[in-house]
Amino acid sequence: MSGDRDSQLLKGVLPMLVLAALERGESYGYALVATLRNAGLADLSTGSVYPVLTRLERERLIVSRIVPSAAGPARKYYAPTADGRRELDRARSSWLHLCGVVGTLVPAPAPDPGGT
Amino acid sequence: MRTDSLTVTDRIRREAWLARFGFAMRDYPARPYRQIARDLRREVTADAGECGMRAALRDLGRPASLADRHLAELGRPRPRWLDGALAAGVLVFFIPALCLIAYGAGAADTLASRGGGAARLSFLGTALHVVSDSDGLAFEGTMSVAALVAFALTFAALFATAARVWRLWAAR
Repeated sequence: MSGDRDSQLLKGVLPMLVLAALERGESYGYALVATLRNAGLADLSTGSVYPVLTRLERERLIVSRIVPSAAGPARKYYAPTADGRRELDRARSSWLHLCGVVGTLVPAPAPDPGGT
Repeated sequence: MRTDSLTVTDRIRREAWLARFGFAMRDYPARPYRQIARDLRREVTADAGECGMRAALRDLGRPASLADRHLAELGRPRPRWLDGALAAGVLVFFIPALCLIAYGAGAADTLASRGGGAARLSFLGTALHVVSDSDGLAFEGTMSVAALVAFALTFAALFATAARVWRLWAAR
């Protein structure tokens, strides 16, 4: 069941992660998923990210443009809007605050004196 | 892999997946759904160029799961038109049809217990002709246009009322 809990945790922070990844440079869905996988979200699927991109675009936190490709079909590239950057700042503050609370209430386990 | 280089199998696989996704998205607002479907077709075709169509579709997951995620991202419950129509259909057509059959069978059985005969009856706006003789039991029903219209209006009224109640409930 920890997988379900992790999935719920991820669902809460995925929009922030998507905005953060797009802040580094515009990207298309599949490349964005690859970026997030390389950052440590190995199990992330395009099926999780595409609905988030749709919602962020609907809420005008990101914009998209179709970029033709000589090597294959056109791709839809996304970039954050000014509202999206503000939302990222807000989400980052909330996340850091939450991390502080969790760090206070749930301290890291003490090192094993036996070194095992 | 260019779009026009997709194999027939890949096209069929993609379109079958998108058809299932379309059915699962039946309650999503129509215009944004069309945009999502367009984007998805383009992206999955392009993704297939990087990892193959089978892997691209596997990565998207089950069509119903992706539709659930899109519906969840809407952030509000959506009217479930097909479910509502099915429920109203069962209430207005299926259950009365069962009652009609039960009524006709009961009437035929009553005639049989009295030694046979024929009767003309009316039930739920339907004219019934019931026969019971040595060959067995039989009954046939004829519904008038007026009765059919009455059923259709009842269906529409039930559907509209349930939809209104649902909206009020969803807006709480």
